[in-house]
Amino acid sequence: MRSHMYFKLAATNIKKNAKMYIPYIITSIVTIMMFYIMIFLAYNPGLTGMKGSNSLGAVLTMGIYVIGIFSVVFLFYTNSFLLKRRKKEIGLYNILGMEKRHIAKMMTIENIYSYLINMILGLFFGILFSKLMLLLLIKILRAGTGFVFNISTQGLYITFIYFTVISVLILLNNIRQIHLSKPIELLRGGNVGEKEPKTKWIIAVIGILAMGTGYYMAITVDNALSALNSFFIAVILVIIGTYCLFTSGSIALLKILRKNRKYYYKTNHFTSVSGMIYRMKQNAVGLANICILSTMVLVMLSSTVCLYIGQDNVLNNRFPTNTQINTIFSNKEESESVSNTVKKIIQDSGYKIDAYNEFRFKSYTLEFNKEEKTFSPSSDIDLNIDMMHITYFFPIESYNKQTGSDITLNNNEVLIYSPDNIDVSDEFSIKDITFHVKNTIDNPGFSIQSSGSYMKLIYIFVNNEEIIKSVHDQFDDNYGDYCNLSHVIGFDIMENEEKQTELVSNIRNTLRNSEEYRNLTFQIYSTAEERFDFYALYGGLFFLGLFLGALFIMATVLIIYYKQISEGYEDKQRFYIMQQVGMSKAEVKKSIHSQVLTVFFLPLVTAIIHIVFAFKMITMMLEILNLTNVSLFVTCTIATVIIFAVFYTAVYSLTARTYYRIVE
Amino acid sequence: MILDVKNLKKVYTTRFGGHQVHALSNVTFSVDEGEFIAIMGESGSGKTTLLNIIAALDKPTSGEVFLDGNSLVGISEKQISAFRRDNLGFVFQDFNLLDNFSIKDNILLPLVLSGSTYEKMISSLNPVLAKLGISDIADKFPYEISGGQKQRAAIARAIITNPKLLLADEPTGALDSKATDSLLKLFRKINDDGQTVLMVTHSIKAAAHASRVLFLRDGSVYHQIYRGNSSNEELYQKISDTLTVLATGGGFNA
Repeated sequence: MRSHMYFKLAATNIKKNAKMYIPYIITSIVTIMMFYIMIFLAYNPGLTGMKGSNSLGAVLTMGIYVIGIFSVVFLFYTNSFLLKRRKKEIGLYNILGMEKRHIAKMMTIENIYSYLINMILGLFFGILFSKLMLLLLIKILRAGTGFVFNISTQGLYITFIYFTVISVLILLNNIRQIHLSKPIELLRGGNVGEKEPKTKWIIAVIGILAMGTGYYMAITVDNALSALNSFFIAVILVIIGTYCLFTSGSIALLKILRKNRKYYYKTNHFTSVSGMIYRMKQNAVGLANICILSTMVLVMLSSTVCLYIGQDNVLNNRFPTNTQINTIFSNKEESESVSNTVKKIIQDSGYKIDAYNEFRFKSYTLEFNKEEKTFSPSSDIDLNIDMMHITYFFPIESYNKQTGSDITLNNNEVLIYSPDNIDVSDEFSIKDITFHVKNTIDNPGFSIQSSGSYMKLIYIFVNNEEIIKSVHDQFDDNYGDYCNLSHVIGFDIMENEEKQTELVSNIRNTLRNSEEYRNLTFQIYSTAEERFDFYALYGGLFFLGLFLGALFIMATVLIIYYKQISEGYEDKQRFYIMQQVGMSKAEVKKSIHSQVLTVFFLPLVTAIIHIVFAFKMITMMLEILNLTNVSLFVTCTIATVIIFAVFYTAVYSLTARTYYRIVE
Repeated sequence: MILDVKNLKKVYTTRFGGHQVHALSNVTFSVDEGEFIAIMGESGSGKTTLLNIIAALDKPTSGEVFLDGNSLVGISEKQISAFRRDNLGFVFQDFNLLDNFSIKDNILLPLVLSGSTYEKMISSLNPVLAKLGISDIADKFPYEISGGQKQRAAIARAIITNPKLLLADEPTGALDSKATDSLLKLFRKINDDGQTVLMVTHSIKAAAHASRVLFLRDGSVYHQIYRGNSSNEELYQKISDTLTVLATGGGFNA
């Protein structure tokens, strides 16, 4: 065959298979575009100068990997669809006298064509939309400037190499498939899968077990750290369960229904049960894919949206007051002096201050045994996570100073405050020392900055600092040598953020540069400064959520589209036969419609069930990120689910139209 | 008289008006109960159109069709499916069995659609299976059996409702000669049991099993041959002669 023939054939092939090819090309273009944009953003020179750039960079880089891995899986998947539908055509070429190497050559040229289209348009749109995405990101981050719009040559380069490699792999896979197959199989290719599926009981049972265990883990989890530990395992189990149940469970269930003669031999059930067996065999994997993708989209969007909206909630949890000055390991006199210095700076500034508090403390992570009423250090945190408590020891002086009260304690008396309402009984002991609980209090007048509230907190007020030292001595070497207590000053500066920042940096400079405090270590936070870090992290996550959400939704849409089309071609014949046997057009349409509806909404319904079960777990993990506003998360989740369902339905009805056009 | 076709006319108009095709120009004939009619004709003579109209799958431009005294033309769209299910049986060239049903379920399909109970279904199923000699493959699926067996299953599906009229469209078209022979014998047997059969076919061999053969040409009944007392071979010869005349295009008195 002359070589220009191949080019002509390849071009007509693409044109003739436009219905199948165009979605594939669009997917490729969009994935290439998104990949480029992600690299462009992650390596934007403006990023490095920005506050919170580390978190944002990490989030965006993660995005690159996710998109990268996803593109491979997804492009292979859509390509296999394409190849399957075209097997008949390829078989025909083979029978008409083209050798396999000729077909391979033709295939290669076709793939080169589509590769060129994908790459050129993908990069073009990537460059075009990167500016838009940059503006969106800046808006989300509430970052004013810093980012630079340019064409990232590095991005172009990486994208080009990466997707060229994927294209080559896909091409090799196509050629391999052609070589492996026999022409007669190729001719039948489109119709493979008409055999009655076997019931794979073992897989169905594995599915039930995996799904059940995953769900069980998700609903029985009772603290954040174990949620974090078991989330991954639960997700894997549920994914396995979903695949097993979609592929085998559905068929097993339908076959049980079919065995029930009273149920099966009814006009409505007869066609739908057997029709569903047939459909599930061909679509199970695709539907499981849709289900998993939908779940991912929902979890990602709801949690990132929630984090983004709730970042002020997070900020408030994390920082009880908008400014905080920690002096680590200082003695009483030093603390006093630091406190006076800070007060003086505030006074000089003339800014208004509120919620001023000050205290000295020492904290230990201890295991509290309710039965034995003991606190003890634990070497294995993971195992006893439920019993672990962050235990703060304060001199009673701090409490009196803060609340203006005048409580005196004996050396073996304590006051207890527990924000988590832990019942500490009248007496408890720390090794050899036994304390008597004089009283429990409702409000100590201050709260400690927590980096994560996944462990329960207990505040213990003792008579003086000497007692804290003797407690420390009980722990032997578990917490090293005894050091002084830390000193915390917290207050809200009631001015705008600019002035807050000014005052805080003033305090910071004075303390750090002072000769007097040369030996002290200060940790100075202000929400005005920290906010950017939060925006960078949560805004970045939100942006990534939207970005990946869009990508996954596109994947879902595409799978639905391909499913509808292949369903359509197969239903056409059945539609015709059923009419001849005596079903009216309306009846046939109703029957097929209900089956198609079931098939396409099964994944959505399952995804929503997944979300319901995962809800508790995700709530706890958000707690680690300091988001405690559960009702906000409920709202975000419901809103996301509704929006997604509407979108899903819209996509379904659009593709259903194509479907009915094929069938009729 | 079970079927009465009067002055049937069917004109297809191409999509954008303009061109008209007369598929049937004027067809009149009637079928008595217990007859086995074969309709022959070249491609394009209107055979399939005629069959579709009798099956109520298509509407004529003008003319009437009466099945057991009821007009098919005036029947409403809603009733038509139930009517078809209860009164007509279909056998097609390519069997048209549904892949996702076992043979048994394929045969039961019309009964399930008309809503009968499982006990009743089984009591009508067994004699039909026995009659067609397919009892042993009832639980298999269409892709597991041969063409001849598929066609038997299709016939079983067509006659399980005891239709007034069995319509067959080229039933032997996709079968080898051995399977064809046994299938035609089966048609004869069913016919002998009192089933009225109307078969459209190209095959002289198939037509030679009929009790009467109608020839369609240019959209109307051109000629018909009664079996009378002829044997299959004699009828075969007559049909063959008629077709030769038809093919050479001469008048019948030539």
